[in-house]
Amino acid sequence: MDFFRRYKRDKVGIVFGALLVLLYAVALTAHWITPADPMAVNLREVFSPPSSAHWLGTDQFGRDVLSRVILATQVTVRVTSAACLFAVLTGVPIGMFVGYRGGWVEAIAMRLTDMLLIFPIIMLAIVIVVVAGPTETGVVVALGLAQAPTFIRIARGVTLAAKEELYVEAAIAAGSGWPHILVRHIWPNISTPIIVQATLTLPVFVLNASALSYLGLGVQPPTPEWGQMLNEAKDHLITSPYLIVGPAAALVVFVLSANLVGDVVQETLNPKLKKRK
Amino acid sequence: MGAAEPLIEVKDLKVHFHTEDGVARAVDGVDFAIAPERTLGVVGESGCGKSVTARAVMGLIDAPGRIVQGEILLRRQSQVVDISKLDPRGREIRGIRGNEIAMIFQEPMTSLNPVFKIGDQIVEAILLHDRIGRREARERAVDLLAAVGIPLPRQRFEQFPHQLSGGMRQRAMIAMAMSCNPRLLIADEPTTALDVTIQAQVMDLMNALRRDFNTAIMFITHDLGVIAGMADDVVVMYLGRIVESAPVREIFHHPKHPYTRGLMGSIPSLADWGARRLTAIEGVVPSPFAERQGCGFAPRCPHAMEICRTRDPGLEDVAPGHAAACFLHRAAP
Repeated sequence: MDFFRRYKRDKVGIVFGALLVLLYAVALTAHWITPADPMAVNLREVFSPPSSAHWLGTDQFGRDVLSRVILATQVTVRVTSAACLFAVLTGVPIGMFVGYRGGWVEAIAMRLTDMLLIFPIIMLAIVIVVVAGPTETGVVVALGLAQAPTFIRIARGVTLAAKEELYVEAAIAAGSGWPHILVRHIWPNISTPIIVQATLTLPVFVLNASALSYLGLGVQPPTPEWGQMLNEAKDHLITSPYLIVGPAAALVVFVLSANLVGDVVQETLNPKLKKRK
Repeated sequence: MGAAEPLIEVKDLKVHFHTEDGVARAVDGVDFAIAPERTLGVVGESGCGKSVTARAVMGLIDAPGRIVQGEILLRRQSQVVDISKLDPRGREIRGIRGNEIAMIFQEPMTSLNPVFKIGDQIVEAILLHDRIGRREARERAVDLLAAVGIPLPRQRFEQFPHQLSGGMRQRAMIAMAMSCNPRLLIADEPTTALDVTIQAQVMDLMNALRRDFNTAIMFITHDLGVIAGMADDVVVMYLGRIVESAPVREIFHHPKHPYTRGLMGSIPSLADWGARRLTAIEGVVPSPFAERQGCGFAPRCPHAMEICRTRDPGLEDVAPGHAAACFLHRAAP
């Protein structure tokens, strides 16, 4: 695989790629690797500081924080992957269609997209969550729809360029209809920028998911989520500051690795960018 | 032209582009017909409307262009279809494109999709129109690659466009165009981007295919040498109109219109090499935005008369099968 061979040349890419893989591995195996039951309440052990039994301490219900951070990783990965997929699957087809179709359909679709883009994403997500309800599905839909306009714009932009290619005209001259042209001729030629955008947007999804649950609009207790754990921990910041360490560190590591990996993926898929540095 | 019913007949076709600078009359009243299995050469300099005519025949005119007048009649087994009236996105025109009329383009470098194997692109083209299995389509694609003279067709099938030379790519494009055995092949400057030896090979190939597949060809070029080697009949276009139309021998031996003569005079010849200066046609092509008055060629014509600036000559027969749009060849008007 040419992609991996070139990706491997970047040390930052290797280190943070490994971290990201580690986080996903943790997410996939969360149920087996938690040292204690993340939901088990133990009122005799509330607010115990980090120890060999509880590496990150216990919270106000005596639950093991490390186990909760591990389970929260799974929740975050699940929610953000689904939301990212949702945004791509709604945004890209719309963007490709209106870009290819042009005319008044495009004009109307793009003005609507612009209107969605003027709202801060978090605000849009809050509105959607309020409508759809603060469930995991609600969060996925909210984050996905909030990001879909970005993908509409990108897919439309690259489609506009690709549809002028002579091979597209040759395909029309061969009698292809538009669905065939979009799927078989345009999509393979525009997938790269869309993959890059998806990787670059992943950390935004993670931050927004945490922000929503911090605000109490995301994943509901007792299911752990980093933002929601931070929200609970802030009430005990003076007395038990260690509670904040686990979820905050996990969040930082995830977002940082996803960001850097996104950059390296972009440079790998578009080697011209690298020379500019 | 032969006595046979024409395969395609274009009548008084006008394609105008409505732009912010005004109306560009890219094709401004063109008539011609192509009989089955004949080759029509369309000659003219850049911007004379020859490519736009070809696109109109394929139903490929995009906004701001519009067919404002005329008919493009395609004769099928039982009925006649007017392509200019079909919805350019509709099902009917898609059944004609690639199936009954196929097209090859000037740039073999960019008219193949870079991310697909050559063979798969031909298979796609076959499957668009014929309800046959993928395996059968593969076999036919390999046969087609062999038929257009691509050595080792099975290996080439698996290769990507960037692995092929320009000539090979144009052959692959021709294979793709011939995949559904079209009755008319429109070739828009197919040899212009190729070097001369490859040009000759591609022309030989197209002539051979015309015999084998019984296909009529509309061959667009600005190269008179290519026309001499390919065409049965020739139309010369200038400023969106046909100025002369005749069988190929007639047009080379007895060109009537001063523009055609000018084109002939600008061909270098080996016979009188160095003895003769090439004659150039004076002036430049007028803007297609300009309102036409009289003969479009009059401002550049060495024989222009008073009448040429005021009245439009129109295409009229000067000899059997030979028409020219010029007052020089008329009996006193």
